[in-house]
Amino acid sequence: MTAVPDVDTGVDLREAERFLYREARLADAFALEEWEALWTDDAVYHVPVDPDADPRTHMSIIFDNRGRIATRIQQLQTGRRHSQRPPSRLCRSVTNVEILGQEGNDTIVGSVVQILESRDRGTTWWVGRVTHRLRRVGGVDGELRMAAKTVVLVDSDRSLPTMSFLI
Amino acid sequence: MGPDVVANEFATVAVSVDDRGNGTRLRLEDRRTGTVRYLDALELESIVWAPEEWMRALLDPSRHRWRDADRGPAQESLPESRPEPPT
Amino acid sequence: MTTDVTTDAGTDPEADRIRSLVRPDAVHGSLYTDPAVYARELERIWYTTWVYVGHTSEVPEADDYVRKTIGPQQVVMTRDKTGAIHVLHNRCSHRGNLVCDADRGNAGSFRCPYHGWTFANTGDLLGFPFNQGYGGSSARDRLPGLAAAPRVEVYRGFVFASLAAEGPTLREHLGPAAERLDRLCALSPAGEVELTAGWVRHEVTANWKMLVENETDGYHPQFVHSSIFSISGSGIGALYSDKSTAVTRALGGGHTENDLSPEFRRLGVPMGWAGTPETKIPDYVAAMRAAHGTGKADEIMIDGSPHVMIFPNLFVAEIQLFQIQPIAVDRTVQHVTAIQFKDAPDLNRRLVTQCVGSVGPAGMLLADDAEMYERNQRGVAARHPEWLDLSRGLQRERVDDDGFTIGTATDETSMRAMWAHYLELMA
Repeated sequence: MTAVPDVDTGVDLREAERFLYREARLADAFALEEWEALWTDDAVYHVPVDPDADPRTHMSIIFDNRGRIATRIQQLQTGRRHSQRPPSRLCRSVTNVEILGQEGNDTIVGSVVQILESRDRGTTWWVGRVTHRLRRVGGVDGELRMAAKTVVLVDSDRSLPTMSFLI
Repeated sequence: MGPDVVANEFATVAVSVDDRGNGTRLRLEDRRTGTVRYLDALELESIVWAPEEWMRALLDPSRHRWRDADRGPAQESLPESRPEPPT
Repeated sequence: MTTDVTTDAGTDPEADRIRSLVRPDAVHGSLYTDPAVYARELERIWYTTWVYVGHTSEVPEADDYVRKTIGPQQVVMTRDKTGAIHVLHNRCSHRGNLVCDADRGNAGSFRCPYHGWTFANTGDLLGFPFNQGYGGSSARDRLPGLAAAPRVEVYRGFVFASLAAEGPTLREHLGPAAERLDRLCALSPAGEVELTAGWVRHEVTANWKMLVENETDGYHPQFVHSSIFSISGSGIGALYSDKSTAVTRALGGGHTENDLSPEFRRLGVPMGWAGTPETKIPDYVAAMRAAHGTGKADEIMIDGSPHVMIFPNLFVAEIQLFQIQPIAVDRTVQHVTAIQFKDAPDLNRRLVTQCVGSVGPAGMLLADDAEMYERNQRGVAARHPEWLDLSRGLQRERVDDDGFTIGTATDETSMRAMWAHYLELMA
C-alpha cells in the first residue's frame, strides 16, 4: 500500500464514513440500482474463503467483476431469486472506520461490519473486516465510488449458511 | 534464491524450507549423492531435544549407510528409509 | 436409536418399519426427519458402505495431510513417507482428544496436545511421555494407535473409505459410475483431476437425502434457477426441458446421473458443454488434441463432463465437485470446489470463475437450491399428506442398450433408484 506515491485524494475520514454508512443503508434496504451505481466500471467485489489465496485460482464465496455484479443485481430484480424471496431483513452496523492509505487516486478504507440477517430459517449474525477502495470520479468535486470491496468474514473458511443478500 | 549450504570437508548439505506440500518442512539434500530427506517441525523439535548418545549413534557409519549385509540392506539402496533411533 | 444390525427378514421390526416407508412411487416424510432413521443411516450407510473422503491431489507430498469427514465423524487423510494414503479417525487413542486441529499441513506424526501421545501418520503409536507409567516403552506394542478406516481404496485419485472391515470392493461399489469418473479424468490432457482450488463450505438446515435427490433431479432447474437462466442467456435450462434429449439414468448401487451428452453431441461443439469457445482456451484444446489425437480429443471435448451422483456423498456436476456431509438429521454441509484438470491452466482459471459464480452460500445457482432444501425440510415437518411423490416418468421408464433404467431429462428415475438402493442398505 506504500508502493505508489501518495497523492492527495482529498478523502477524509468523515467523507469515507458517510460513503460507508450510505452504502450499508442501501444494501440493507435492497436499493439495488442505487447500490449498483456506487461501483466503478472496473469494480471487484470479493468475499474470500482464504484472504491470502489468489482468487483467480482458488475458491471464493463471492468474486465478482463489474459484469457479474450487474448479473447479481439483475437476478435479485427478477423476483425469482428464491433465496431472497422474501428478502432477508437486514440491519448492519459499520464501525472501526480507518483510512488505511492511498494507492494512486484511490483511498483505502478499513472497517468492521456486523449484520443481523433475519429469515424464516432463523437469524444469522455475519461479522467481518471490510476493505473499500474508494475513488473520486468526475473531478475534484465529484462523488466517491467503490473500485473494490473485500469482506473477510471471521468464519469465511467454516460452514456458512446461505448468504444471498448484498454483503 | 537457492538453498543455504552447510558444508565442511566431510559433507555438503543443502538446507531449505520447502513449502510445496500442505505445510512447511525442512528439505535436506546430501549434495554428494543427491539424496533428499524432509523433516517436519515435530521431527526437528525432537532432534533438538534428542540426547547426545542418539546423535553419536546416528554418526556410526556401520549403523545405516554402510552396514554389514547380515544386518539388513545398506541404507544407500533405500533412499526413502529413515534413520533408526538407538535401541 | 437403533443399533440392531440383524438382517434376517421378519426379525428386525425397524427394518420392517422402514420398508413400509418406501414405496415404488412415494417415500414417507419421516425418513427426512426421524432421528432414529438418521441413527440407522449412520450405521448402515455412512459407517458401512464406501464413502468418498478426498482426493490424492489434496495430499500431493509425502507427510501431507488434510482433515476430512465421514458423515459427522472427523478423520484425517494422510500420505505417509512411502506415498500410501491413510484415513485415520481424528481421535487420540488415550482419552479421545481431537489429535489434529489444522485443516491441512505437513507432518509425519501427530502429537496429542492433551497428554503428548504421539502417532505416526500411518496411525501407529510412536510413544507417550513418562512411559514407566505404562511399564516402559514396550507398552507401545499393546496400546492402540489412531484407529484407521479398515478399508481405503483409490480410484483415479478419488479416495474412498469404508468403516466396515468387509464388504464389496470399491470397484464393485462404483460399478458403472467408475466410467463416469474416467470420463471426467479424460478431460485432462494428462488424464488426471486435481482438487487444488480449496473449498467453500455451505451448510443447509435439511436432511442429506434432500441434496442427494436434488443433484440428479432434472425437473427443478427451470423453476429454481429460472432467475439466472433468464438473464444470463444460459443454455442449461433447455437441457432440462421436456424437449431435451438428455436422459436420467440409474447406474445401480444408488448412483444416478443426468446424461446430458446427447444434447452436447447435438450441439457438436468442442467445449460447448462448458459454454467456452475453443478460441478462449487454445492451449487446453491444443494439449487435448496432442494427447488424444484430434478426432478422439474432439469427441471427449464435445461429450463433456459427467453429471453424476455417486451414492452417498460424491456429486460431480460438470465443473464442480460436491462432498455431501450429514451432521445431524436436519443439517448437512456441502463442501464444494472447482474441478481442476491437470495440465490445463487456461481452462482451470475459467472453471474457478464459473464455479465461484454458481456455488456456495452466495452462488447464483446453489443459494437457491439450498433455499429449496430448507423449505422442503420445513415442509415435511408438517404431517400431511405424509408421502412425497416419486412417480414422475414411472410409466415411460425404459431400459437402455446397456441395461440401465432411464427416464427423460425431467423424470424421477434417479430418485426411485436411490431409494431402492437405500432400502437394500437399511432394511
